Formats: sequence, C-alpha cells, structure tokens
Amino acid sequence: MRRIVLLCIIATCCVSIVQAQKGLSISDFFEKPFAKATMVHVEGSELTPYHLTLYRSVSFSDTYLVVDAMEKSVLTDARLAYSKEMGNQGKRLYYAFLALPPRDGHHANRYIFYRNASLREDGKDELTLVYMEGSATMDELKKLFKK
Amino acid sequence: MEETIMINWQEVVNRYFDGETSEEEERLLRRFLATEAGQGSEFDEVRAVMSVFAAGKAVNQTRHKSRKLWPWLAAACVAGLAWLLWTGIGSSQDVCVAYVNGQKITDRNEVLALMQESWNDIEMQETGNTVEEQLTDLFNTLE
Repeated sequence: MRRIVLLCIIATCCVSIVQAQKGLSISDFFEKPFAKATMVHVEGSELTPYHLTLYRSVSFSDTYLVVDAMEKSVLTDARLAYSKEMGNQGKRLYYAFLALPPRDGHHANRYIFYRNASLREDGKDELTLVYMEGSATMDELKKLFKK
Repeated sequence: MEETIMINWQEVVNRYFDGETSEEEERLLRRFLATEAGQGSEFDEVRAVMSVFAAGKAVNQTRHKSRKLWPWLAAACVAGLAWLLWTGIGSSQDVCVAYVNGQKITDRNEVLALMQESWNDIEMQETGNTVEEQLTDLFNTLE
C-alpha cells in the first residue's frame, strides 16, 4: 500500500515538472497586458473555422523598448522549430515564421510569427508577435482570415 | 501522614499489577512515580513496567496516526494527478479578450477585428524585400 502511494506521489511530481516546462521563451510577452501595446487572446470555438485552438498576439508601437528582448526570445524558441522561415535586415531580425512540434501529450501544432515593421523604410514603428496552436498547416495560415 | 501515603501508593501498585486500576489511577500513579516520594526502590519494578508500556503506547499511536494519513495522501495524489491530466488535455474554454494600452476589451467583434489586424501586420505573404533582392542579385550575377 505504501509503495503504491509513493509511486503516486512520484508520478504527480513528474507530471508537475513536465507541465512547468511546457512554456516557451516568448510566453513572457503574454503574461500580462502592457501599457503601450495591443494584446489579443482568443481561444476556443471562435477559432474552429480556422482549424485553430489558440491565438495570441502582442503588438508594440515603441519598438525600441522591447525589440532586443523579443528578438532574443524568438531566436531562442526558433531552436525548437522543425520548420522556419526567417529574414534579417542588417543585424536585426526582420521576420520569422516558425512551426514547432506539439507540446508533450498534445496534438496541436504550434506556430510563432514575428514581424518588425519598423525595419522597412516606409514601415510603421511596430513590432508584432503572434502565437498560435491548432491543426492548421502553414499553407492554411497564409490564407487566414481572407474571405 | 507520610506513611499512610506510601501505603496507599503501594496498594495502588498492587492493584496495578493485578490489572485492577482505572486509567485515572494509573495516570496518578505515573505522576507519583515522577515525584521525589516515588523514587524509592520499592517502586522500581512498577516504574520499569510502566515505562515499557508507555513507550509501546507511543509507538502504536505513531503507527496509528501514520496509518490514518496514508489513505488521505493517496487520495490527494490521485486527485492531483487527475487534475493535471485534465488540464493537460485541455478542457475547452472560450476566451475572447483584448487589451489596448492596458484597457480591456471584451466586445467580440472588436476583439476579432484586432486579431485580424495583428495577423495582417505579420504580412505572411510578404517575406521581405531582402529575399527578393538577394534572389535578383543572385540571378543577375549568374547571367
């Protein structure tokens, strides 16, 4: 009986540890609302038509405040990606489209999208980060929200 | 007076060995044995016996307490594991919220519009002039 209980305790601890490590580096930007940013969090039935389960985005207008930290986070998580499309402007990361494997025990694909529009000559001073989960493919995402 | 007290305690001790004392009498006897008057050699035997029984009772109480605790611990672990598995599977929940400069927006249409706007900002069709320019340069060089 005691052995069974001990096994239960160990199993619970292991699962807790696994759950705690599921976070990505970019998750820091979705923790709480920023004073000068636009954040979107949509989850559930609204996204079903797009074959998505989760959509989170954050856009900053004063890019200089966060560009270093955000670039670093995106590049950190890019190491986990099985598919990536990235481009630079000079030494800065201009865009990144990353496809990551599902979390342990899940089936939904994970995607990270990043765009630093301020690097374009005519671009607005804006930095956008999007995180998605779902069964949609990259091709489907290219047509996302288009009617 | 003192003699009377000793004789009385001896009587209690005799009844203790005969198994005729109540719990209260045994408790009082233990207290007496801890006093100076109860340090006499005539009480050594009863002191030794009561010590052994006291130690055995303490061990049994500890075992009894831990035996009571294990089922609750097991139940808590199973409940915790079930909760973690359930949240891991991801109980479906609908969320539709946005924050603009810290201001919370819950109007569905507004939130979805902001979602579309943010996705447009990603410009997935536009992978950057840098790639096109580089390809153009590459083909120009080959020619």
